[in-house]
Amino acid sequence: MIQFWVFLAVSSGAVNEPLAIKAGRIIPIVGEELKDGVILIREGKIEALGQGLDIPWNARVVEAGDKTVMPGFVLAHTSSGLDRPNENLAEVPFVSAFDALDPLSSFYEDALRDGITTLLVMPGNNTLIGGTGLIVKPCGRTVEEMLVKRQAGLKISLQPYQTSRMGHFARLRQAFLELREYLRERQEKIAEAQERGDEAEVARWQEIDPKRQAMVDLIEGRLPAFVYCQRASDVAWALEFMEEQKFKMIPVLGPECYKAASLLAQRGLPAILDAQLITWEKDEETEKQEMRVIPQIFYQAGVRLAFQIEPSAYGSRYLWFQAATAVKYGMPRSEALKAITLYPAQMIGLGDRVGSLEVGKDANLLLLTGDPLDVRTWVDTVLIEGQVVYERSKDERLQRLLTGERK
Amino acid sequence: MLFLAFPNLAFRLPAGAEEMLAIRAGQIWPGKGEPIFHGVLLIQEGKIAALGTDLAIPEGARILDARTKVIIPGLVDAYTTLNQPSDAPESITPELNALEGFDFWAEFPLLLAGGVTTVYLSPGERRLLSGQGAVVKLAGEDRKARILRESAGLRVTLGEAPKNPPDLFDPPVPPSAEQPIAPAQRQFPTSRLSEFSELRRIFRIASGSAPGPVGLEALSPWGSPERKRLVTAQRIEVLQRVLRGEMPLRVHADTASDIRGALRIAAQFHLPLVIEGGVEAYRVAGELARAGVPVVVDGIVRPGVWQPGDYTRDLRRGKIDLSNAAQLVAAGVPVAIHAPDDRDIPHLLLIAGAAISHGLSAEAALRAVTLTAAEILGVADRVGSLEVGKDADLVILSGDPFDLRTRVEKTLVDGRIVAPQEAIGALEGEGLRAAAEPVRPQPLRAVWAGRIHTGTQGLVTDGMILIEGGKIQYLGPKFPLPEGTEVIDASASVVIPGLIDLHSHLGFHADRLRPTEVGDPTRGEQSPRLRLSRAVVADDEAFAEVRRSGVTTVLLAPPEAGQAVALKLAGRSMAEMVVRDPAALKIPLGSGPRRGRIWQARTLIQQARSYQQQWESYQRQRLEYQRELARREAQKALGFETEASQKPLSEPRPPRRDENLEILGAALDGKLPLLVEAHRADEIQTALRFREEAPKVDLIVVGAEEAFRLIEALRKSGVAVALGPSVVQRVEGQVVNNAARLAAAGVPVALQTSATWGTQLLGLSAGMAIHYGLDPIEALRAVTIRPAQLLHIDDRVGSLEVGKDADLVFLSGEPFALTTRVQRVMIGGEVVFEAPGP
Repeated sequence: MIQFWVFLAVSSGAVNEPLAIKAGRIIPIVGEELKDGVILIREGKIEALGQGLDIPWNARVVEAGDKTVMPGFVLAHTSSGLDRPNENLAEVPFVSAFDALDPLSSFYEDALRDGITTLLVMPGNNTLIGGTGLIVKPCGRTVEEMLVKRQAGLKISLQPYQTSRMGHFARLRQAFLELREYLRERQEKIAEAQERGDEAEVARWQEIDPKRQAMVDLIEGRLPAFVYCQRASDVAWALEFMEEQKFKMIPVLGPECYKAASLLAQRGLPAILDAQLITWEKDEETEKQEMRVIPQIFYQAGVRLAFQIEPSAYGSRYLWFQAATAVKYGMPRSEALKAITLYPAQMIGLGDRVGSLEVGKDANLLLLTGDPLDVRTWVDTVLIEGQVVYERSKDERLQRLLTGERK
Repeated sequence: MLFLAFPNLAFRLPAGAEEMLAIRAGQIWPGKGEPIFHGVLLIQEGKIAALGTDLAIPEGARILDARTKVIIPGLVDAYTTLNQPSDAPESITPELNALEGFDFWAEFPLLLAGGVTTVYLSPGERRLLSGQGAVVKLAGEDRKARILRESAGLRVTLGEAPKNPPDLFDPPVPPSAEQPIAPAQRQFPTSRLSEFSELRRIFRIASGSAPGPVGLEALSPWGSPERKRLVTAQRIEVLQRVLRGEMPLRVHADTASDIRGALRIAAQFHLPLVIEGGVEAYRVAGELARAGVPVVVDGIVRPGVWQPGDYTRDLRRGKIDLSNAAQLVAAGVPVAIHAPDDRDIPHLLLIAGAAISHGLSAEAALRAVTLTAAEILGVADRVGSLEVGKDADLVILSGDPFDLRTRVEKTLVDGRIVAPQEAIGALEGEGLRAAAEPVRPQPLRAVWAGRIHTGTQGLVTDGMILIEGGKIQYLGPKFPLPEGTEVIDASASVVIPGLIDLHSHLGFHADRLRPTEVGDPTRGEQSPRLRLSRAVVADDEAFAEVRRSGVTTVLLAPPEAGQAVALKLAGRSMAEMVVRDPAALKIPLGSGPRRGRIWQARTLIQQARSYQQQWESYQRQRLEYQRELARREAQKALGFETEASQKPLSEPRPPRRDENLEILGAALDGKLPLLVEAHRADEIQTALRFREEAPKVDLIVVGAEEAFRLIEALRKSGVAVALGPSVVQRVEGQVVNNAARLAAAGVPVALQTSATWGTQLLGLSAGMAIHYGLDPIEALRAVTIRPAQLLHIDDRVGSLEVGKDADLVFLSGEPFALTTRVQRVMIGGEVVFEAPGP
């Protein structure tokens, strides 16, 4: 991690100095690709982008004529980089991944090296109501430095935990019933106290029980739920429950959930897919193995997708690899690139800030040595909010790995 | 309560599917009342619109012809765990529902193929009161419509299973003086006694006669009193539904004492009760009948599965009596039978049938997996019987529901075929439609027979065979047929499959030879490439002679080397008569000194092998050549030709084609059975050498008079033997029955005649073998199913089974008996010989 704060220190003196990147190729995600374009960055935002722009006299110019520039990748859901992904108890809406995040975890270093500039870090799936997650950028010494958004979503998991599936569902329902009961009682108490003119009592009830704050935010629409569904019937149950309880839901899906793709499509909901993109299923009658390409099924159903990564796996640890796999099995390239940039940004509520290169958005961008879906391409330079936070030429660990030299 | 609902997924019928489906059925067992024979079932919009005998099929309706089949209601399994219930830690959780563990996306092809269309889902197995069971269909597009009943019973488990549930640890977050961290709490029941006391306690609370929470207070992560109040209220509400009689208490109880305990509690609180399991229910049959309590009986038997445990004295589950269901029905208790394990659900009909041999009537056995099961589950308004207005869930069987030969041919749910896989969607296409002019269906021919030797599926007495389109469509007990059906009444006859001669020269008349295109088949060119099918004529008079003896199929083989054809002895053209061509390759081992023959076999194999290798090597070279050519093209296009690429390239030449060696190679690879004629022991040994040198070869030794000397070698090498025409040998004054000895050693034995006219004496060879001790059943198999299997034509001939060709021989008595006459021979459903006189 040492390298990161060195970069920050070096560049921090020139925050207000505009930056102009002359790029050989620009993939803005929204809009057409550009050849030999310029991106102007001021105060961490994209000020302009196009061909033949006037470069301000005081701008620092980065010559990247041989590079491809695109927005930084966005990871819509991960439980890596946490001290421990889950609390032992099933129902802990009041805990936050903020308190468990380990800034020194090599996960963030790798994420940056692999081009991820925004991540939603969520409690894991072994839970019922697992607590809230936060959005970070993968650079900084402390959680505060990394932080983009403190409360970004509440984790709900429909995978049975410490009980049967029906017990798990019943308990979730009971938690919501109890919450509504609490809000009703609070309303009553406030009204009673106001009638009596008991200001202290009004103030006491007006303050929401901090243990319940996240759940109240959820049902009042201030916080979305990231709902993990293990199988297709969980998706159906979750949608039904979401419509009954009227909260905002982003489905996080296990590999089996592809059977419910049409249910998501009908409601215009997006999906965050499991890192495993291909499953083999055995037909019980014929005993034949059949391949299911999950992103292709969702794409054909008309569902917007985001990919997850599996940091311990070969290949699927890279977001670009996930996108390339989807393209290999028929997803259009533009859609696959959106699934690692714009769509996850929208899902985590940062669609207006990151995920594409548009005027006014954060200057989170990657300078790549080639096409993003080409296996030979390196992430050469990463900028987050206009600051250079990674340069391959200065990545000592990578060089050690490639040259085999030890210090 | 909220349950799975799938709005916007409303079941969309494809265009035109709302029209009517008409099923013409041989028999309809409606599940209630008498069977209907040659009836019609009309289905519209997934429901039964009409059924009866004299129904007109409306114009435009699609027709499913099952005139030879038996239709029963879709089966109902009144207890399953297809929702894979795991147990919650708490002992008493009435608010849980089995439906929430059920995966509506799971597919059940094997269960549907077994005829099961509706199941009860149990909420758990190891807690005192684990929740509500539900009833669902196993197929259907609209998942919400598949739920027949959300709350079909509240499950209580008695006996050993619910004892000592885990301790509950319920830490408040954060702990405080008012809500301290309590140690893990012990749960009831800890003994069988406390099972009953717990149940009484909770029903007293629910009925308002005692205060307190239901079971232990709910698990709550921060010990919120609100949560506990809320969950307790939910639980009491469910218990009150039972008290009001809206759903029964389903008590899983096996021993008589537990069942009595359940009856007492039900009487005390006036609860509707259903007993589940009920291993010892027969001991309290009278009490159950008086209380009007139905029992969902554990079927106990698991067909074909190892059954561990000794229930003759095991007191935990009680003493098993296989006549349990029969005794209960006799006492007047409504009984459903459930599969003992989810893996056995595909065999539900068989499990119910097993109770028949212990005293249950066939009608009651079928009801126990259809109507009574549906009534106990409270879904009889939708499923369980075939009645107007009910769902069109039905099973088309090939025969009588409890005949072991019977197979499920199609399963329909809501009027749509859902199993087997290959039949799904079969009704969606154009298919057969009723026109203004009534469609004349293919003629149906019925045979009534006193005894039917099926050859593979045992003996059927007083049976009936229905034939349509030359194939057997039904084989089983008689049932009334529509008027106008052509019936052959052979009630005094024995019917066997048409006989098959594994090696015959029928149709080659040495004395009346005419030169043909391929030369003289008996004396001419002797080579494997000789194809006999080109040398025979369809209406050869010898055929008529031989089929009178009951032989309906022969393998026509040349006397010397050549390809043999499997042929039916009747048909309008050669194409119709040929069953398989070529069906085998024949190689005779020439006579002469022994060393010469061994050399001959080895030489043939070596030649065939080296020929194959030549071709393989040629193919490799050719591939290499094509690659090199492509590479040079590419280099040329890019403009960097090298010196090496200037060298001339020669195209490899194919080796000379040799049809003989090609066919021999195919036989050595096992693609075609290889018939090797060998008589003496040393000749047979030579024949076995083919097997040694080419392990894949499908070898049949023909003749084999001295096979008895090599029984061990034959058994080990796994080859088959076609004996004949002399089946029995006389050796040193002793009679040796080759057929019996080989059969006893487990060598596949078929009989053959190697004859032209003598082919009609095939039956006599079998008779001779029987005379000297061969089992008559084995003898019948040696001239029917065995040769069919050896020639890989057993999908069409060789036995009497549904779906096979209707090649039938009618005999006046038992097969091969000297007093038995052939009365009638049928090939492909057509009578080709009818003996004059009675």
